[in-house]
Amino acid sequence: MRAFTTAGMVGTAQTGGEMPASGAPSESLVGAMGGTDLERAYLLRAGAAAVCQAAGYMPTRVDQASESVSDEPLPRCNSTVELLIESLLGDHRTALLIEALDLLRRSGQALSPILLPPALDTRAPELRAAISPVLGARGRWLSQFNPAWKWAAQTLADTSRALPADAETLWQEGAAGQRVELLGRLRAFDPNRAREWLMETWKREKADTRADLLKTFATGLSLADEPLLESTLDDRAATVRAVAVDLLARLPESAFAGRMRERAMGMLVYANGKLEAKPPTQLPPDWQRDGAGQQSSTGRGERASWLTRVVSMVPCAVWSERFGQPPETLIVTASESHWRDAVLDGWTQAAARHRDAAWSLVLWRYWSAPRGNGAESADRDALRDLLAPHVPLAELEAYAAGYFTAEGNPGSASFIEALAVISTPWSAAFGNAYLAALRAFVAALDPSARDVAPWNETPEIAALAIPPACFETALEPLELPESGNWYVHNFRGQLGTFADTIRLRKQLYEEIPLP
Amino acid sequence: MRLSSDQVLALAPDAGSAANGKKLANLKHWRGVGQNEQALWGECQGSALYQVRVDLATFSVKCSCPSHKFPCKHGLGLLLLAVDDKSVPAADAPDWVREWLAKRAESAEKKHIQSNDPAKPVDAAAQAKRAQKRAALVEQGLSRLDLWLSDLVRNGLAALESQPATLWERQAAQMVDAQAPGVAARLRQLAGIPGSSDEWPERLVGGLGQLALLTHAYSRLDALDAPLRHDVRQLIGWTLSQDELTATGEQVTDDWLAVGQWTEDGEQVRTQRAWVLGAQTRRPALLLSFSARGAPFGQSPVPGFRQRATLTFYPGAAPLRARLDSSESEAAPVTELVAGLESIEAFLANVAATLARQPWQDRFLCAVRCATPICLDDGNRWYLRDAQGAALPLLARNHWRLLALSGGHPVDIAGEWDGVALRPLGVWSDGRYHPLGGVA
Repeated sequence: MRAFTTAGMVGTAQTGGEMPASGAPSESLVGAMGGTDLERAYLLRAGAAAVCQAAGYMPTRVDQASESVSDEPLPRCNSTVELLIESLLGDHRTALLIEALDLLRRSGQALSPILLPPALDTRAPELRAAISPVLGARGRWLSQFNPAWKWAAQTLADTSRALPADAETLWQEGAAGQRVELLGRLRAFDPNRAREWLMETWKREKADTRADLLKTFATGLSLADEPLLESTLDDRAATVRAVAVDLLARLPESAFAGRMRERAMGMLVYANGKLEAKPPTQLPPDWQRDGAGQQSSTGRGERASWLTRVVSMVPCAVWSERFGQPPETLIVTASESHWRDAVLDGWTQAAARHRDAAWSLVLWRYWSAPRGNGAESADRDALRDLLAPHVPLAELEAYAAGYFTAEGNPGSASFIEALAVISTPWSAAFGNAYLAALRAFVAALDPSARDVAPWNETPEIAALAIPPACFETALEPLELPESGNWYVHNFRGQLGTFADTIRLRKQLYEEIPLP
Repeated sequence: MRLSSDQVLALAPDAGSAANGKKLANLKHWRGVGQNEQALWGECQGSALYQVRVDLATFSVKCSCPSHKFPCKHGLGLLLLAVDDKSVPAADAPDWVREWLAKRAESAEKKHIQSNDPAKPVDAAAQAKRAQKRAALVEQGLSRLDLWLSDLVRNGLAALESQPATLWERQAAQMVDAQAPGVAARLRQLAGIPGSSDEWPERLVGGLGQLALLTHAYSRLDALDAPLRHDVRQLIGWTLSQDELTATGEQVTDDWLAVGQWTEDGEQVRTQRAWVLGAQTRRPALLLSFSARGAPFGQSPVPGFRQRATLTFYPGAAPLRARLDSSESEAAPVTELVAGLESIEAFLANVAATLARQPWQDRFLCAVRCATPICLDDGNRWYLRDAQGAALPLLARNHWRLLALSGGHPVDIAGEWDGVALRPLGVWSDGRYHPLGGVA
């Protein structure tokens, strides 16, 4: 056959009248078709041979290469949910997807098979974390075939907080992501054993994995971890050293914390109602080892950066005690000092790191106050939001609620920023308060309004944060005044999208029964 | 309703319509939705208020919107809305739905009477003259083609890899002028082969050879049996009028399972290839619909459903293409591929038997039961493997949906085999049909 094809490729003019056989059983039949023309005879034989080949097609033999998946232990989502999730995946609506996937997980259901390929194709880490628990046995089985889906194998199949039965084996042989997850779980109820596991394999781990494994020590952190962490300060990898520094700073009894306290106290002096700072002009080598030399991106200069770094490691309570003043006084004093930004930045980081409720609240109020009070740090918004998780919910809600009335403009955060830091889902009380205020705003809106501040774009945040208990209220129609005005028209669009999102969430909650 | 959401989406004429239909599958866009045993209806607020109605026996959609897509996004939206059995309440049909149903019944009746009417008298002499003139044109055209083919082979086919497509296109245009459009289509297909794969020389030699066999057969048409004569004429490009088809085609009544369809995008015409399989006769049939410049396709059976119906097969030595004449029952969902073959060996035996009767048939319905999709080399090689271990390669590389549905277990599957690879069109898993075809 090969020689026959080659003859056609080079041309019958080159064959000198000799024609190789096609080798097909049709040769003798085609001979009878006659024809004197060499080319024509070639074509007819080729055609007959092609038909013979198609008719005699031999199937390939393939081994059952992969094991089939065992029966799905989880029930699958119903077809309405399937359709909803499929369109959410198609439209990349991440926040809604995460809510839907989380509902599925809580109801003990898995994604249906046709959702698996688009779900495994997702890239966003927060989305993957929500997908992993609802992949089911089928999804995990499927993920092994596509290199782009290997991430699914990095997660543990069982998503409870319990340690799986094959934990020891998984620790030795599992994928990096699985091992990190596993160590984190073990830290929760046997931190000492977890530390022993890690010390055994420490020298063999890659730098990135070392950093991720060490981060799990935040759970169950105690002085027993100090020797390992202290030795890790000399690790080759900067990422690993940074993790060790952060963890040691959280251990007030550690030698590291003692060193930092001493350095900080040497720099900050409070006398006669004034706060002075004296950062060194040269970075001592022992400061360098403890991570105090790490440059921040504030552009404030090296000395200010060392000051912030060291202060950020030391619990704020130290200062109230040492200087004998409440945080309110110290913050006002610091704001008048030459080193204002560096000190307040350090205190803010320290309050967040050590979850100091008292200092967090006072600092958060400081950063949240109306602009023009002197607190003009370039990082003001970031520092304020850094503290929000440690501020009581009622305080955050009350702050945002200041915007509910027309005259309220409570401070440095915009309405949107104030809403965004309130943990979701909102409480029913706050959800209802928002909705009532929105309704009042809409009712009073002047059709010729030149803007819809501060409400503009808040419905987008509210649509995702309002709890199920408020869905009915949220769906009551909101009538904006008839107006050709672009601002009103645009806000009408926002309210339409808001209602769409609420309706979709309502459908999700109705279709996915929670136990 | 008996359709699942992916079956509804499979009815969409294109991906855009499917996406828009999904967006409309929300009660807020609708008012007055309802359904009874015959129909489903609702009014959709678009640029105007559109009246949408669906005949539940055939799932054909009628909408008052100006879209030329069929079904339009409103129809798809309404069908999707009805998937969950809850959103659309049972109700009495309003007048505009009742009138439409009555009109449909009436026109079906008329069609039935028409088809029993004796054919209109035709001017036989003028017709014969036209046919003669065309025959002469075709004959001239084919002899020029034969000379061109021989020239190609004499000078060697290797050079074709670097030749522009116009080389083929010029020949194809000449065949259109010679009123042999079937030959023109073959030439356009061959144009894509040079350089397309490692095996392109074999495929091109075979394809040119089969074309030569066709012109050879045409040159001695009178010596062929009548059925094969029909095949050769159709392959050259003669078409049958609907009346001629009615007169000459074989009528077969059976429970026809719609097993899958896909749409082939040509330069000017899109062709929908819908495969059906007879539950009793176990015969495959291919229903073709054509659409030029984005016009809608005619209604084809809903994949995954069976319907008692009569088909008329285009005459030939191994009749395959058919026309759907009338349906005698409502469409009902099929939970497994009844009438599917048990092995790939049996399918290939059918292929061989068909080729022995009609050597130019190039695409075959492969409907097999209990076969397993196999994914090798990180998704770069795919096979369909039967219980005996025989396997056919799958076309292209994106079969993840099929693999997800099978979970490595045997499934009932239907696809289109072109002699090189299998294009999966539909699969049954957990007693449900899932379409896999699409647009190529």
